[in-house]
Amino acid sequence: MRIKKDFVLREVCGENVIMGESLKAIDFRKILSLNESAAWLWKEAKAQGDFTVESLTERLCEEYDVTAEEAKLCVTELVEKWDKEGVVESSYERRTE
Amino acid sequence: MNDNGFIEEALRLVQKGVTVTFPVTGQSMLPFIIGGKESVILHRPGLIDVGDVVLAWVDGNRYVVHRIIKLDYDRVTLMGDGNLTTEHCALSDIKARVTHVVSADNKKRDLYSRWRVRAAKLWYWLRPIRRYLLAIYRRL
Repeated sequence: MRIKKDFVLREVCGENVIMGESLKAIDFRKILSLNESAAWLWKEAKAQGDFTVESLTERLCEEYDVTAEEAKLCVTELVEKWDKEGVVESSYERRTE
Repeated sequence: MNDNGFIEEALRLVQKGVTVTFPVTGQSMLPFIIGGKESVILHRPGLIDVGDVVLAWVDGNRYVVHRIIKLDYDRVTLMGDGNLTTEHCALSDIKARVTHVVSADNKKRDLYSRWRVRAAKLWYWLRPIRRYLLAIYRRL
């Protein structure tokens, strides 16, 4: 998967939020707020470019003191949420744009 | 959500030409905008006029979404539809123009449709009894 190029992580009022940049319209009712570890994973996903649940899980285990199972569950839930909110796309979708 | 930081972030985007939907709080624009339930659509101000609803930095200390009731060169007077007091700012403090109101179920309504403009004018002239009308409205 990839993070869509229009979305960036910004800090607003001490909160990590995902904002749509270069979009023509933004709905502040639907702003996605991220906690510290989710924001860290966002940056990691952005750095990896094409990421998978496995690649993020691996990095999460290296960075935080969590078991592989806990990390995988956390990453899976987060990526599913990002997918539902439409801020990520499959690498296949991107190639066929 | 209505911290100044979020408003300023929204205004940064408005300045870039992005149309921003922003939730509003408070009852100062009743009965035209229901704070806490509805949101407003913000655009770059462009040409503004008396009767326009705008997001402005007023009295040098706060942002409001209120209606312009008087324009005197650079001096702008605003009043919330649900208020009886006025605020002032310079033309450059008008940061965005509100074009539509969006309800919780995502229905969009134009603030400047012919009948809403007439209703807003009538509402303005009803200021002497606005207090009583609002009291009735709040009980409905």
